[in-house]
Amino acid sequence: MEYVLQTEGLSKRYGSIRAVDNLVLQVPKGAVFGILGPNGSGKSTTLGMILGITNPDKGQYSWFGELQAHEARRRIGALLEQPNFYGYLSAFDNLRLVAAIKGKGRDKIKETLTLVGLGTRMHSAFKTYSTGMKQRLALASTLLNDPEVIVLDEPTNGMDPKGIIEIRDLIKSLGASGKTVILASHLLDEVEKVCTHVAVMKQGQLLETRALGGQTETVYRYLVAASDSQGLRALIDTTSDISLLEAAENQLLISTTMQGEEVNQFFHQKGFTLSQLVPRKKTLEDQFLEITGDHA
Amino acid sequence: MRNLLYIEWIKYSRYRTMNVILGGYVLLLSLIFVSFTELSFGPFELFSKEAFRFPYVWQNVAFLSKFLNLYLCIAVIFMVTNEFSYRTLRQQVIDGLSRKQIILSKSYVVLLLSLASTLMVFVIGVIMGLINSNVVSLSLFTARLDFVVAHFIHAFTLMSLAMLFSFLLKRNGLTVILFLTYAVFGEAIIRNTLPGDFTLYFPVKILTNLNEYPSIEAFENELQLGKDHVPVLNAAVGLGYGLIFQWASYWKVLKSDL
Repeated sequence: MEYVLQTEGLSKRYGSIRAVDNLVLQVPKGAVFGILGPNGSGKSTTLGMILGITNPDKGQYSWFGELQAHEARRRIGALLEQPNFYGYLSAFDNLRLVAAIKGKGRDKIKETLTLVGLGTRMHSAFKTYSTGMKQRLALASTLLNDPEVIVLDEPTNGMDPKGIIEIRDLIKSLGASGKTVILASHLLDEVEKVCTHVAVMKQGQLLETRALGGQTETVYRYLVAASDSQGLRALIDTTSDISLLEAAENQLLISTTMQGEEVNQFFHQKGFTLSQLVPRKKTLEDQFLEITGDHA
Repeated sequence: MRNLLYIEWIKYSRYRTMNVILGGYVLLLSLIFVSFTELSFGPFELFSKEAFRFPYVWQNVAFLSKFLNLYLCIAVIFMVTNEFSYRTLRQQVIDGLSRKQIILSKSYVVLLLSLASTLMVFVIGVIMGLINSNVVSLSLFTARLDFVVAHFIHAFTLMSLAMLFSFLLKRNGLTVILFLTYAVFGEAIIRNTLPGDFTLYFPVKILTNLNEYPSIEAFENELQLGKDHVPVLNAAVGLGYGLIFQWASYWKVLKSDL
């Protein structure tokens, strides 16, 4: 497999806190790669290191194989936290600067600004823009050079629902067009909706990396109920292929490798008529909590 | 180099503070010499027409001009601290500049400002010299021309110190106050509290002694305060300081998180 980014033992300490600890990441080309973790888990520090603004204490990273780091960054579009532009310069001039650094996209400034809806205001000073317009300029700047890799840090933070949907659609379409997207988020829902791969971080450590969707889920979950709740529970406790996850009221949450029909058949054979059999998809949240060990 | 200067040009060609400071510099520098050709008052009576003859003109124009180098230093401070207040250094590294290029782009601007200022001093010297000299010859023209080079070293090293202050302190107001304090009288106070000759090697002192007093040899009373040439030691050490300040700025940016 071809990787656009590889890190080896990347570490960063702030005083006694290990912000990122011995991080090993491999981002495959064309992936929409989510870095998921609660606030303070080291996501932003990680992005800071791979984008050259934070010096790692230990370890290394490489983009596109062996390329010099700053030259590699010209092929990346990154959007971190709030937009950073010169307040007294217009959107047009700010992007002229970006194009000069990237060595690309000088002829696309007007086009890109029109695309993000700043066409009519491109010659006004940046400081006169509303928050939304500033964010759109940042987006224009990120996409200006037609980057091969897009890095986003909490891209929907502080956005209204319409903006959130637009950003998610954008990420999906970038992914569909073969670009690699690296996305840091604390929102499980967001990662689950747009990502093909997820790396879970907690307290600076990488807990797990996995591909999302597809056939990775071999354990199913069901919510079951029967009139003889006690008996049902006893049966479940003695069956090796079924484990009880939760018992609430008369409903039992179980996990098993059996498919829905097999479950129904199994209980029927044992003399239980299920009054309820609801498949429950194992959400990323469950996976996340399982992985981070915060779940009973 | 061209691309880095082009990037700096985009940033500052429309930055009003910068334009005001640099415009003010050009205006003040010109005005000083307009005023000296017309007027003679107060302590500046020393600068009679005689003082602006070849070859003394170089020394005296450079002496009067060097105080305005502080103006250029303030321009440099705004140029660098601006990047921190807009968080744009960080953005430019993300966009694809290396930390070395970040420093180089500022070094080039400092170098360019030093050269431009030196060129101005040279041109003013030529004009003043031609107006005031009765006799012009090549040997009179080139004697003491080294004081123009000294002006370059003074401008470059002082601006490099301002640049280092800016990268260390990051905030414009604080940097301006601390830099001016140090350059105008802070270092002198420190020097006075320390014993020994080594205080002569402090950066501001080294620069001051490049062209310590104006030359008034041309006066009838024959006071000989002005030196015939720029002290070579001061020129070498002064330039060395400039390079050290540049290098220290680079080191600071290289080692810190942006």
